[in-house]
Amino acid sequence: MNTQPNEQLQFEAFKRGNEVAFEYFFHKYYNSIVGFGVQFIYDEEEAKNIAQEAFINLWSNKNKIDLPTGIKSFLYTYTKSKCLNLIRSKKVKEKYKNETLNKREELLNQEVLDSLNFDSMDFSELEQIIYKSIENLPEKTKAIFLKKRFDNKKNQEIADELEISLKTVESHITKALKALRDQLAPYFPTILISIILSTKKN
Amino acid sequence: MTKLIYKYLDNKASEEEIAELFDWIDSSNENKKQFIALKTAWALTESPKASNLETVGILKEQTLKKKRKVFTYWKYAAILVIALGIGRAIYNNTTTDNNNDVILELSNGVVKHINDNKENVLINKDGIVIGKQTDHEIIFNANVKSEELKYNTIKIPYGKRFKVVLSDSTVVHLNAGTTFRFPENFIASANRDVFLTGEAFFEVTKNEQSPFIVHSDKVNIQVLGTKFNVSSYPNDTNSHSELLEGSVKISAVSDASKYSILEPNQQAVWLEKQNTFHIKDVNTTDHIAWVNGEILFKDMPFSALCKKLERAYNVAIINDNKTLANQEFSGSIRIDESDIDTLFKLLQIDTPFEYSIKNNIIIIND
Repeated sequence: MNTQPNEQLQFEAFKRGNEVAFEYFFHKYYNSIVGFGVQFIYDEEEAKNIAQEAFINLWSNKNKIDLPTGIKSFLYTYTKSKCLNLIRSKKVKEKYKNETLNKREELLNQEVLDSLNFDSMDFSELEQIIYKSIENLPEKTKAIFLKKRFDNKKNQEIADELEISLKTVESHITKALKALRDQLAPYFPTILISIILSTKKN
Repeated sequence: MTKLIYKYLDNKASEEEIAELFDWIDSSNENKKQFIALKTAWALTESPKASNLETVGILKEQTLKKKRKVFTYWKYAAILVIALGIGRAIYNNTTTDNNNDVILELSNGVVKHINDNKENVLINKDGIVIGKQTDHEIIFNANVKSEELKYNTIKIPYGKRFKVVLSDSTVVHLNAGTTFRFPENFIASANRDVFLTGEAFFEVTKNEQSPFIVHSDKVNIQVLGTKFNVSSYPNDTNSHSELLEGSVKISAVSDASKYSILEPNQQAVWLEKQNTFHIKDVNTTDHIAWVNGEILFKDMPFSALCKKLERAYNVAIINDNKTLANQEFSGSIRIDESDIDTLFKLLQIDTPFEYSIKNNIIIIND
């Protein structure tokens, strides 16, 4: 996936300080980075700020990145750490009226972020499991899930487009998530999570 | 339950449903693991449609607009504009950017990467042997006579040190991240001018007819024959010099009338804002510990220590922890014997902080 000749050439040009190559990687990853951040801080503007900082830092640290996959690792690692900072310093805006619910969500998001490891190796393994799980979905479920996640379409839009009911769309996405959950869960070591739990409780 | 997780991830769950979901997640490790797996998959497949058309140009524009509201982003915007604007210039000028070799540019334009430990003979354009070079030092011949100054430039990347013996037998130790310009041979009874960006320790051969002058960005240092250290990194706040033996005259580049004569075991720090030198007594051996691969620091703010570590270990340190930045540390590090991770673990014992290391980039959380 990452060893396409073009990717390698772009990477080498990026390393030499080529702006066009920088833009190539910017276009390739910017949306995903923003999307990732939004899932934890629930603020698209702030997520964009973080993504921009991530790319600025990527540019100034380009001589420290050895492999094409390192670019993605750097961007996600930076974003993860910024999101954790915002959550820990209570700068994430509260979503719910219920105070306890906000707190529980913050703790949960911290745990999710803490469990993510964006080392090049682990990251591509994780991505491969996700892509393979999606790839193995029944045709219709896969199509609906791709529209939902990668084209970022609303359930109603998908329903209209495919002339199916809203309920059917929702049940396909649930089915896709179930498959993802089954294949992905074993990837996360229980041990790590229980350590986080025990330190949290102290 | 998957349906409820989905409703939650899709932001369609009610507060009651979310409370129910959180209870389920907290009720077992297995449940939590499943939730983390799904949230991860969801977060990694999210890609907001609205920003599809954004370009680097818009990124710049956006960050520039932001400056009115959040001024910290202005800082980044400025860096980005400069970085993109002069990107090509950087590429053309710093050949060290792309790799980790010591680079020697000879006066005849030949660029050599010094990356093997063979002994190489240096020959000038007239075919005369002017010196020899290994992976850690270059020694220029003392007996080459010339009426013409031919300047070489040597660039030491982060993570390396190097030694140059000039044609007058002056020994120059060059620290990581240093650029040094010097002639292949000096001309009799003329000034011995050399140019430095970074840090070097000089053991200058005495020659009363030819003052030895180190030119740096901020200060010039004139000597007859002495041992002294000069540190003048562009990204450091101050330039400073420490004298071990003899005497030196240190003067400001911006204003030659500002000068100071140093005595042994004194340090001069050029305070640019105050436009003056600050002189104090120091243990000079501490300041040249780097020559032997050691970093000595006493009551040094973490931010200053980071710059030293970045150069010595060839890493980038991004510190978002304001408290830590002002924290002072004392200690010594043998660069070859301790890796940067171990070092940070030690610092953590002293002052708790969190960090991650990926691809030689260390990010410290606040």
